[in-house]
Amino acid sequence: MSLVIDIADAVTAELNAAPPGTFTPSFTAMRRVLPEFDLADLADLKVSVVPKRVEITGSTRSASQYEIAVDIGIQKKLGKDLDSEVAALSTLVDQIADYLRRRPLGAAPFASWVSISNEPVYAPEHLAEQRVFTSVLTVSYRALK
Amino acid sequence: MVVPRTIEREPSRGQQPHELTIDIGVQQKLAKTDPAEALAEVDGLCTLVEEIADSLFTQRLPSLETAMAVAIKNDPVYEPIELDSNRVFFSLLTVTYRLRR
Repeated sequence: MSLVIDIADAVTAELNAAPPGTFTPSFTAMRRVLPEFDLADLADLKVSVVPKRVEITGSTRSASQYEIAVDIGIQKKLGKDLDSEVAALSTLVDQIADYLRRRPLGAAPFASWVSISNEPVYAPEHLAEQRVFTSVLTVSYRALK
Repeated sequence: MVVPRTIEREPSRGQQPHELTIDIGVQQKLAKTDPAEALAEVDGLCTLVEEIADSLFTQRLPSLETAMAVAIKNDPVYEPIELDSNRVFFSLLTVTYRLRR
């Protein structure tokens, strides 16, 4: 398995191993090829982990430094009260970011956390056209190989 | 598919290139339609891309031994729009070579 897939799987496992009450609402994360869903499926909250980018650097031939980025997509079809639902889901995104920040990955202890970004906080076009909340967290890890 | 991308030259080196980057595209139409099987197929292709990257980063080019890979970027790991629209896996490796004097 490639390093980026291993890290994506480890992030998925880490999210699913969180103690009850860590995230509101709760969810089961899945690594997917693509975070593409029918609108009907998005009635339930979907949290998808997808590999994004790998960069290899290193000045010596003995060890290469890998920086691996994975995207975590948080998606849900919203009802009528956009403001309160977006606020609640934005809080969930913050909870996920706080949970992963500086946290070692149990299934990939060789990787160290580097950074996390949340862009978009939510995709306005998904919200306007489909009433779907879509937020993306990009988490980066560093590993030597 | 291998495509030249950029050439950087240093004034102190005359017309000699200093750093070169090339793009390597890895593409394949997915054979599997079942989500779990497609995931496994994509995982296999990601492993191939990583093997190509590791090989290029750790080995000199036999036909250009003055060049050394100093960085490799795999971005995107795979292109989501291409995968969604055409079921084609497309991954891009950008390799930066530095040339010794």
